[in-house]
Formats: sequence, C-alpha cells, structure tokens
Amino acid sequence: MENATILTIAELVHKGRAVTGASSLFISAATATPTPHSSSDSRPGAVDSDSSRKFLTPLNHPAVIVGTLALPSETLKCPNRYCFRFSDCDLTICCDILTFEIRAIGSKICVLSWNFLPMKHCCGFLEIIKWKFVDTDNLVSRCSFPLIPCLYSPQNVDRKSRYSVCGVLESISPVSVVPCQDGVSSDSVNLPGFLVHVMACECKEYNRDAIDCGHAFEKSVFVYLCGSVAASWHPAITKLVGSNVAFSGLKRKLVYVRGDSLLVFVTTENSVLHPPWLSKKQTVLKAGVDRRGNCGSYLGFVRGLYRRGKLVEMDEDVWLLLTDQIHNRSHSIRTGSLIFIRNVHFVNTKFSWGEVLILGACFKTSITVEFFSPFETSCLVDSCRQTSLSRFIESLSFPARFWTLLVRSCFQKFDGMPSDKEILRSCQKDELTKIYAESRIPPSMFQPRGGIFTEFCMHESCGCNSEARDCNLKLVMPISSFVHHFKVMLNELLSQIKKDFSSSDCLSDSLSTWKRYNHTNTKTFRSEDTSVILLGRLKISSSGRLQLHDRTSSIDVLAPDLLSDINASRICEVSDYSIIMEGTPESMLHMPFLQNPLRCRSVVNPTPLAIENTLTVCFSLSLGTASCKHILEHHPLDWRHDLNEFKEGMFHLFMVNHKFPILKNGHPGMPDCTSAFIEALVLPWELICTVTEEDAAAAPYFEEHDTSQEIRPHKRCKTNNELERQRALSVPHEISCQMTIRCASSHCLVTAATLSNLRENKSGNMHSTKRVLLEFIPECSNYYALQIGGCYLMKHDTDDSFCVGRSGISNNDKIGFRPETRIWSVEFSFDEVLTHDGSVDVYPLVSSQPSLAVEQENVSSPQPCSDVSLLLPSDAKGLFSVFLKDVEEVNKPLAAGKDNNNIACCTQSEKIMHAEPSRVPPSNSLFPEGNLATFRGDVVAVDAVTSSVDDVSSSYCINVLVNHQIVKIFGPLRRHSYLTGFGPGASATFYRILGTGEENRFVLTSASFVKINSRKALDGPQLEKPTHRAAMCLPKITHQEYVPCILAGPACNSFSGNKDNQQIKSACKVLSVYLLVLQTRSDDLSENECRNNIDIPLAGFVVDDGSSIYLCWTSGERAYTILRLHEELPEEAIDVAKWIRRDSSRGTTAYHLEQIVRVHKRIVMKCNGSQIDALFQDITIAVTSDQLLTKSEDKFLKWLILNSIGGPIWEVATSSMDMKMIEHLEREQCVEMETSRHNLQSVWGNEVCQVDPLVRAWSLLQGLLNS
Amino acid sequence: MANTRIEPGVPITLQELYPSSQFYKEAVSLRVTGMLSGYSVETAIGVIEDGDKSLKINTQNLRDVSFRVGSIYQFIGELHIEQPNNEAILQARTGRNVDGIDMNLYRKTVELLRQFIKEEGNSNMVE
Repeated sequence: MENATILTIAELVHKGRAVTGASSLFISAATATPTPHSSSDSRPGAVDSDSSRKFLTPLNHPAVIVGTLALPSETLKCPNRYCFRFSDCDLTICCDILTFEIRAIGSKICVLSWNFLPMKHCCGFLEIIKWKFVDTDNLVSRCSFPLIPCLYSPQNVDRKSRYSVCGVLESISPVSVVPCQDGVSSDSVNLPGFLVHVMACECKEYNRDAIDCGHAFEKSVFVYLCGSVAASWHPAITKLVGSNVAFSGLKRKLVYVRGDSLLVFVTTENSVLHPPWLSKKQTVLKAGVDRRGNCGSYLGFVRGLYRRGKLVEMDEDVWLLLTDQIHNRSHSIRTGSLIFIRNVHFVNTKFSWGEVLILGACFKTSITVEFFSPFETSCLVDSCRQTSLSRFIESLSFPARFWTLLVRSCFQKFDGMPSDKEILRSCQKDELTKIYAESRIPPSMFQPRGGIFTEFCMHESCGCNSEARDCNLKLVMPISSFVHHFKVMLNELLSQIKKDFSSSDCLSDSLSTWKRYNHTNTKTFRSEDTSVILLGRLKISSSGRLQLHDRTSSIDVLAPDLLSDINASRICEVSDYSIIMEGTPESMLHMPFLQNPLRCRSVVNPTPLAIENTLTVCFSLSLGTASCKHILEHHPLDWRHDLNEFKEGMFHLFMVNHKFPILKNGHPGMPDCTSAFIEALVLPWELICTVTEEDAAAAPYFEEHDTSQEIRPHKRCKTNNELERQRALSVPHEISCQMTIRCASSHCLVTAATLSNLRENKSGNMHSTKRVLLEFIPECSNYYALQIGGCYLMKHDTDDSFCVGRSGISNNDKIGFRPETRIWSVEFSFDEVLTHDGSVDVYPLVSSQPSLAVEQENVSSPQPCSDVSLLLPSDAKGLFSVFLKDVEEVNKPLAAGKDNNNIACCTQSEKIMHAEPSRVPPSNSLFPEGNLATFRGDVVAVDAVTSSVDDVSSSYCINVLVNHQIVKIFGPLRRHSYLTGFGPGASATFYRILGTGEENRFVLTSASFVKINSRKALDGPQLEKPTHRAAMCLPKITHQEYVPCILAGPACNSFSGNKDNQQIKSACKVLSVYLLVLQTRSDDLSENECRNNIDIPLAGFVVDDGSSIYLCWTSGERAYTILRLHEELPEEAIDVAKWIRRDSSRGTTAYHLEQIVRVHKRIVMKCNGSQIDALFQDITIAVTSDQLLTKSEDKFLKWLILNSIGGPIWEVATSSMDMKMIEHLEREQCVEMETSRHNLQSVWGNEVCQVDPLVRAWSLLQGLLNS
Repeated sequence: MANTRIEPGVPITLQELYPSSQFYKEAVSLRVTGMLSGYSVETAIGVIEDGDKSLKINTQNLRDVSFRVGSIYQFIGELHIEQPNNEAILQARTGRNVDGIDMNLYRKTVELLRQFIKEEGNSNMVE
C-alpha cells in the first residue's frame, strides 16, 4: 500500500473517464493484504453476459484517494439531492460507500479501492468499495452522534425533548417537503424531512448497557426527522435499515392522518443518533428473496435500467418499478450492481402475454447497493421534472404502471423532430402515452394516492396492499422486437429439428435449399394468439410497399380495406391482424410452434440481438377489418380537427377505373418508373357542400350513431319533404341531396349538399366523363387508399390537382396527384321510400363495371363505410344514367394509335372471366393481344416455371380457384410489388388479366393489378407438396424434369389431360427392377460437367407400398435416385484390383456405371422372371455396341439391380398412366414392356425422395394428435 | 387351465407393469419392449429394461433370436407370476431385435392406438 499514489478528485474529474481503482489495488495487494472486497469480484457472471457491456478501465498503478466523507448539503448541486459527499482539499463530488460506519462521517478516510464515473450534472461520482480511517489513533470510539451539530450548548435541554426510541429500523421514507410557518419571520418555508419506522421496545429510557437484556422490539414507532439538517442524514440512515438504532432527545407530537391520530416522535435540536450495535438476536443474513405478505425484500443484480431509471430489470421477468417521483435513489444503482431492496411490494401479475413479478416500490421501500457494478454503465440520475405522464403513472396500480412504461418505450422517437427539441418531443410522446394509456387502462387499475404520511404510517390500510393480480392489458411491442420474437421462435424450432434428427446429416443442406423451392410456404399466427398490439404509422416504403413503421423497424402490411382516412402522419394501433411468415421450411409447418413467452426486455430494449439467422423468412402483417385505429381518434380535440378537414366548398367527383401496379426494376420495354398510376374517370358532377364551423361544433350530438351501420342514412329524415319540394322546383341538372360525413367511428354529421352537373356549368369546359391517368409519387399513400370501382371526392380549389395549370380536363390527361391531397370516399344511395321497386339500395354507380360486379358478388359482409354518404332522391337515378352512358363510351376499345400512354394496348374491352375468351387470331403486334378479364378467386398454389406463354416470359404460374375451376395465370410475378401476403390461401382479385386464347389460361401483364382481399390462416401443409423435405437427402429434381422429355409429344397431352391425373404420394420399397434403359448423354456435355454422363430415359421398378404392388415408371434423376447411383460403391460389388477407388467422385456407383455405359452406348436390361422375388430373376441385357459384355460388367449390372432392391424406403409422388401412354413409351424407347402380362398397374413417378421413417412417423403422429 | 385361445399381445411399456396394474395378471398376453440388460444362456432368462423398470423374459421357446446385451428387443408372450415373491416373468412366444426404435415415439403410438381402440369399441357398442 505504501507505493500507492494519492490521486486527487480534481485529477479524476479532469480526466473525465470512468476508471476503477479496484483491480490495480487487487494486483498489488495480493501479497500484502487479504483479497480486498473489490467490485471486480462481485460475480459479474451472474449478470446477464451482454458482450456489449464494457468493464471499467482499471488504472495501471495502485492509487488511493484521501478525503472526507460528509452528509449531503445544499452546496452540492446533485439532482438526487440526498447523496453522500466526498471532498478532498479542493473539490467535492457525490459518492456512495460500502461497509458504511457512522463514525466515518466527517472523518478523514483513505479510499483504497474505488470506481469513478464522470457525470454530466455534477463533476463525477465516486464509489467507495474499501476504505480505512487515516488517523486511527485519534479516532474516538463515539457512541452518539447529534443529528444537529451542537450549535447550542447541551445544557439547553428542553423538557419536552426527553423521549428516546430504541429498536430495529424497519423502513425509511424518502425526503419530502412540508410547507410550514417559520417561527421567527412567520414566512412560509418548505421544511424537508423524512420518516423512519422503528420496531421499538416499550422501555422509557435508552440505556446502552441494557441492550441485550430482554428488550422486546414489538412496538411500532414512527420518528420524523425534521429540518434540513436532520434530513441530510437520509443516506446514512438508509444504510442502517434493518439494524438496531436508537434516537434520543425526541419530542412527541400527535399528528392527524386521515382522521386518525398518530403519535410521532419528532427530532429536536438536541436529538442524538446512537449507532447500531451488534445484537445476539440480530441476523444480518440477507436472503435473496424474503417475503412477508405483500412486502418483502429482494436481493439481485441489476440487469438494465430503462425509462430514466423508473424501470429496473432484475432477473428474468422480475422488474423493479421506481415510479414515485420523490424517491431518493443512489447513483450507484447501475446495470451490473447488486442491490438489496427492502419493503418492496411483490406483485405477481398475469398479463395476457405472460407472468411478470413486479417489485413495486412505495414510500417504505429502501434500496442499498451491496456491490458496485464493475461495468462502465451510466449512473442513475433523478429527473426533477414532474411530467403529466409521471403524475399519471403514480395514480395507477403497479401492473398498470408497468404496462404504461412499456407503452412509453414504443412511443420513442416516433417522428423526425430535430434533436434540439428533445424536451418538446419527449413531452409529446409522454402526452401520447398518457392519452393512449388512459383509453386502455380500466378504471379499476387506478388507485388513489394518500400522500407520504398516510402511505408510510398507515401502509396496510391505505390500499397499498390491494393489487389487481390479473391484468388483461395487451402487450404493445416495437416492430423490431415483435419480428425478432418470431425469428427466435423459428430458430429455436429449427435447432430442435436439428437436434431431433441429427442422424440425417444432410439436413442442413435440404434446409438451405428450401428457400428456392418453397417460396410459398407460409405460417400464420393470429393476433389473438400473440395478444400483441403494434403501434405505428402506415407509410409507403421506397420499394413501393405499404408498411407499418415505428421507431425501430417496419413491416409489410396487407390491408384489404384501407380506409382513406388513414393518414400517414398519425399513429395507428394495430390490434387485429395475422402475422404471415413466408418461406418457413416445410418441415416446420408440422411442428407445433413453441409459444415462447414474450419478454418485456425486448420491449424496453428493442435492439435485436444478433441471432444466427439461417432462415430467410419474410414477415408481413395481414390486417383484419377495422383493425387499424388512430390512437387519438377518441380525443375530442382531434376529432374536431378531423371534421374540419372536410370544409364547405366544391368537390370534384371521380371514380377509380383501374390501378396500375407499381413496377420496380424496369419492366422490359418500359422506362424505370417510380410513380404509380391510377386510371380514373372524372365525372361531370360537382358536389357543393356547406358544412360550417357551427355545424362542426354541434356535431358531437350525433354521437348516438354508435355503430357504423347506423351511420348510413337509411332512415328517412326530416329533410325528405323539403327535398321533394326542391326537386319539384329544381333546375334539371342540380340534385339536392343529404350528405353524411363520417369522421371517426362514433361521430358523423348530416348536412345538405348539392350535386351540380358540369354540363351546364360555364366555369369549366368539362361536359362529359373523362378518363384520366392519375400519377402518384412514391410518398403518396393515397394510391393504396383508392380502390378500384370506388368513388372519391377531391376539394375543388384553384390549385388542386385537377384544376391547376389547365383550363379543363380532357380525355387521357396525365394528372399528378400530390401527397398532401386529401380525398374522401363517397357512396351513393337513393331514398328508399321514393324508390318504387325498392330493390336497390346502394346503387352501383356504374353497373357495367366488372370490378364492382365481381366485388359485390363475393363480398357478403357490408363494405366498410365510406367517408361521405350521399342520399339522393330516387328519380336522380335517371340523371345518373346519363353519365353511366358516358362511362361506357369511355371504356370502349380505343385504336392503339390514338392512345398516348404505353399501356393502352391492353386496355381493350374487359370481360368477366365467365365469358369465354374468344380465340384471337395471331397478329404481328409488338404487344401481346387478347381479351382482358377480371376475376376473383382463391390462390391454390404458386409454382415457379420457366416458360414463355404468348411471348410474355413467365417465371410463375399461379393456380387460382375460380368458381370451382382451376385457372392458371402466368406472369413475371416477382416484378410486381403488391404481393405482400400473396401466396396459397390468399383470396385475390385479378384485374385486367390477359386471356391467352386457351381455356383457363391467362397472363399477368404489366398493367394487371392484383388486389389481395383476405388471407386464410394456412397452418397445415399444402396438399400437393412432399411432406418430409427436411428428411430429404437428395437434391430436388429440377422443374424441367417434371415433364419428361420423352413425353413432350402427344403423350404429354394425354397425360396431362387425364381426368384423374392426381398425384398420389406413397412410401414404397423397390421389389425389383423390371426394365432399365441406360445410355450416354451425348448431346450436352457442358450442362452435366459436374455430373456423370449417364442418361436413364426409362426405368421401371416394381414397388410395394405396403398395400399393393405396382410398376412405377420413371426416368432421369428419379431413376438415378432409386438406383442409388449417388452412393458409394461397396467393396464387394467389384473386383477391387480393377478399379481405382481413391478419388471420392470415383467411388460412386454412377462412376463405375458410366465406364460401362460409355463402352456400350446403350444398355437395355429387362427382367423376365418373377416380378416379386428378386432372387430368381431372369435378366436379359442388350447392348447396342458391337462389344460383348465382360463377365465383370455383367456382374456389376446385376449387382446394380440387387443394390436398388436393398435401398431405403422412398416417397414417390405418382400419377396414373393409361395404355396410350405406355404404348407411346414403348415406341419411344423401342422396347417391349409387356405390362399387360403381369397384371400390375403402371404409374409414372413424378417425384422421388428418401423418407426417414422416424421423421415420417413423428409427423404422422403429430398429424393424428392434431386431428 | 387350458387357455384354448391365444390372445393378442397387448403392447405396453414396462412402466405400466406394476403389481396393481390391470396387466399384472397371470397369463395375460403382452407385447413388451426394452433394452436387454442381461441374459443367461443356462436358464435362457433375459432381463429387459426401460427407464427404471425391468422385466424378466423367459426365452426358452425362442429359436432364431440372437441375444446381445445393450440391444433393444420386443417380445410377445404371456405373463407368469411366480407366487412366493409375486415376481413377474414373461414367457416369450416370439421376439425380435428392434434396435433403432424411438421409444418416445413408440410410447406415444401405443397411447394413440389404445385411444383408437377405445373409441372403436365405443362406437361399436353404440351400433
């Protein structure tokens, strides 16, 4: 210790670095002193080993600090206010001390081992781990410490202050301020002070000598340490909680708390504190958890501090809540420190997402740090600011407080306000959190607060005990944590699969390949299962997808019924949704997903841990109807604002005719285009409306229209008579109508409006319906809000998109749509009473519009309410028919040359699917030609194909079930960006799909639009996919091989045209090989360079699936697999001397077979004997070369057959073959198959993969258990 | 005495074979599976184990089964309870090596099979 340098505080502060003087001491003192009680041995391993956490930098030389420890004072500006001070000759900083002794206060001490942490507010913070008195000789063994330094002589003993209290210090309250009258100046002063609770002995006189002789500490006594000097003892007395103390020189006061009187001892100028003494009864053991009733103590490491220290993570699912504003907490409560919490509420709360132990701190709670953190983590600093949110949180029960703090983490950094407005932004988020939480927390979760005196002294009776244990609040999660949660789940499942089937070592191979083949495998979770709420804004990403954004991440969104009032700048609450995981390995689909409990840690700390991501799974959300709510919509201020957006004025009326998909990465022949286009019909009508501010103000009285159904103005209203009168007098081209404006779910406003025909209007030159192209720049979310077939209103203004820069709209104008443009959806209805036929209520505006017809046919539920409903008199239908005619005219086929937009070639007359598309004669046009169709159906499968249909290169074939018929749609699907959630199970409407002339075959063009209406939760496997891909050890057959080349002729047609051409999958064993044709692959060597040169154009295997025996014909790779040519050749199969077997590629059966086939060009092996018994077969081998088969070759070929018989169980997907096809094969291969002779059914094997019987058995079991 | 009809061996796990169990009766036909932990050539009595349970097997009637300690075997036979100490021994009528069996899967399958048989029985009774 002698060679240790003495550091000054100024040096430490000047350096401004977090350092520890503990480990340096540890090294040097290893020989001299016993191991110091340093922070570095405080079991850092027990703390969550986060690799990002940094240990405090140790000094490279031993160093001590000499100074004086003092009680807090006003001079030190520390936000925590009640911190110990440590000062050397010239500087004072905050400190905390382990192994505290009261004697140390005011004494000069030498700090042997310490941590120093710089702090923003005061210069720094010193953690004193080990210390000693500098001057041990002069150290008096003091046994009493006056709470107030002796300014007055002790003779002035007041007779009143003669009481003393001796007992066990149970709890301590935080320092609070009581306003009172100053005795001298009669001014109001704020007097700080705090309460302690002592279990005291009833004896009157404090006598130190009589301590252990029969005191019974049974009487509950409260001592109030009053005055700023006495209050400064707070940190010291906090350290004494749990030990014996004695106060003397107290006076008694009767205080009234909530009507009850309570005797409280109050300190005076003469009060003296007697330090703890060691009692025999006293047990200083600190158990990890000690619970008595609701309150107890907890010892644990701090894993993380969140929300400015309000939320402290202790252990897994144990959270300490420090929400009360006046807690005086030590800076040393840092991540990694071991803390002992006394008198804390244990609230085991069952949330809908899992169980959490909440340690709720109240006024009785005190926290002492037992070991300082060895990590360089930030100090806890109290924020003095009391916000409305913190006041709100204090009024809640502990579970609700916890939930609100979690919600607050999701609101962080929501918008891009500049960072210098941090406080403003923080306030805004607080306000948002408060509003949101208020709307969600049930009234029972609020609890009245009684103030510090009540809650401390009457703790049990003031309701601090009664806690709601069950809490059905849903977890609000940041998107990144949400997605991460599912990723972790997938990974765990994957590792479980790996563990279970570690025997099949090629598993990883097959898992890495599923992405390529199984791009449509989806797994869906519904929001009811996860009970998670997401908050975010709906935005359109740069890639053109609709996404939900929050501060952490974004997720693709599939919203079938996005209302046009979804505003990109406002936060939505998404509660009803399905999360779709696309590209899940097929093997996983069978496994029951382990429902991992959601960890609150991931909510408050949403930086996703880097997980080894072996899966590339796309996540997207499919929103349910009415799932997307603006979180502020119930807020009255916001509501008014919302209504005011629909102001009086004139409105354009337009209808969406078609939406063009957002095309990315350039469609061939099209320039790169970032805009999206919508074809719209601008109607020659204008809506004139007079909503006034007064109307808006009066509007809340319409709140009785609670459900959206009621809002629809079906009811006859008072204005009917008036309307009738008006109609009688009216000018023919103006229609008065009643308008209902829907603003939020519970508000609507009914007012009068006029539809005016522009034919008579002199101001514009628009006389008929015009077809225009609306251009949407990527930021414009209106593109998503507009639905094909829907009618919309847009404010008529001098600078609106329709009017600016042009005198009028003409056909085929391109109009730029601005992102800020507000549009309202509008629907028309006709007065029921005046409609004599009474059949039509909501009149389809354009009856000939296929899309609308299709929509209505399939949608049984009422469409979501539009923003504005117009109730028209029934005879207005006649007037409407005028422009219906217009619409039909506009939709008539146009000559290609007349059209100036490049998609016009496809805009020929549209037909609904059921109309048989007529065969289009071949033309030499540059663009594909055909009839356009629009239909709605369920997507059954999406297959990757590489073929070209009608000159449109297609990468996908979508099988859609339309009216019980499978329709195939080919197209470059990948380039379309509207495919969030697209895949098997999706119900989609396909607009403007080009007919190919063949029945039920269509082509997606760049003008086609796919709207996904809904998604079924598809949890089970798809029917026509192999079920054990995880167990498949062989490369999958490529798609070209699906239809064998030999079947490309008419046989192929008969094959595919076969009525019961259904694939049957069975697991089977090879009994014998009936026919085998082997030949060299002469033509394309380069293609097969890494593979061998054998082609198997035809092979027939006699297989047994356990129930029957049949002949399975196959070719190519599949035959290759069944013959086990990939496998290594066993020794006994060949004459070892003849073959070199060193090279691994030469070790395979295929290699040796190739040698033989190369010599003989083509070998046909046929088994004439019994089909069943392999041992007695009569095999004939014919070769095309002139050379004779050698004996070893003959032996090898026979062995080949035997080898395949000894093979594993195969899973074969087969389809039946008819005679025609068999004949064709015979002709093709010049072989006689004589299948009829054996009475065996022939099938064609389409797919072959090896089955791991265990995997198959498990999945069968799983299937049975689930069924 | 003569049990004229040979009953099918009911598949059970060794855990289900305890004195009060419904299977622990004289001449009950059972199908048992377990790892051979010991085999005496003199007496032709083997012991199979599954978890912490074991069962003696009398294999004197078996011919073509070769016994290797550590392998898993399945036996079908009748239970004989030796009176003095109430000890069970299976008089194996047939047996086979079932190395590679997944015992977890097997147990689950047995459960499922029983459930199925029970349901079948119930529905037959209804008819």
